[in-house]
Amino acid sequence: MTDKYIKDFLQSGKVPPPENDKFIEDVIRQLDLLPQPASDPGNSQEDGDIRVRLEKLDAARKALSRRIRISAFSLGIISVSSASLLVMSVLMFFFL
Amino acid sequence: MTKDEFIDHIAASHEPLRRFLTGLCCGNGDLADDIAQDAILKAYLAMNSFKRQSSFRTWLFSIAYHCFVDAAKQNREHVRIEELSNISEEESGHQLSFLTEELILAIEGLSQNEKTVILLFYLEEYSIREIEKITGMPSGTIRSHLSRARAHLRKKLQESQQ
Repeated sequence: MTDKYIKDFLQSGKVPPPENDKFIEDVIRQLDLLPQPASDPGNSQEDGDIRVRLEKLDAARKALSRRIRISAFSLGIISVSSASLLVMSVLMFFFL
Repeated sequence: MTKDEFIDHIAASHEPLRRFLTGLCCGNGDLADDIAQDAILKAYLAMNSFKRQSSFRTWLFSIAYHCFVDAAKQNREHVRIEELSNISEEESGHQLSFLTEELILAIEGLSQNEKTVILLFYLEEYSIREIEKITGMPSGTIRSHLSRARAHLRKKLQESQQ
């Protein structure tokens, strides 16, 4: 007696549910009586709103720090250029 | 997961679930439906803990299997399950559903674990890995239960053929 025979025997033992089956209707009725399941911690609407606000703040902080970095870099370049020009002017003044 | 999504999943899974529980409950469809309903309500209340690491059906089967084990542990339910295995359809007054009487009779002598693995493996066509997730048994234990159940079934089917 093969494995396939056992499988076929068990598979042939399946019977469809009765036509007047009210199982799902009963389940839905019972589910309606239950409270809404509690959400995972951190997944409520309020937590979501806070998360969105924090993300916006973080984006603004990053944008600001990028702008400050660019300004500082530009200022650095301008300072170095000015200093170089000054040094060159002084040198030219003495040597020419 | 929303409530509607949950109900859609249940509509797709309730038939195999009730069939499996009917097999475990020795053909008692009423008891199987009580356990199935209990499992579905528990699953609903815990649906946010479903992490999609397995299919919804496997997750639901796991909850239902543990509900059955809990029910079988309680003396009252245990007596009911054992008694019903010896009562015919006419005597008990409930109709056999989902499984034929021939199949119920063939698996009635198996232990609870053997019945569980043989129904999941051959009837619901779950893999050993999925049965591990449903029952929490290690794969080696599942294989040995399956092997014993096969031998038992072969003997029973051969006897019925003679």
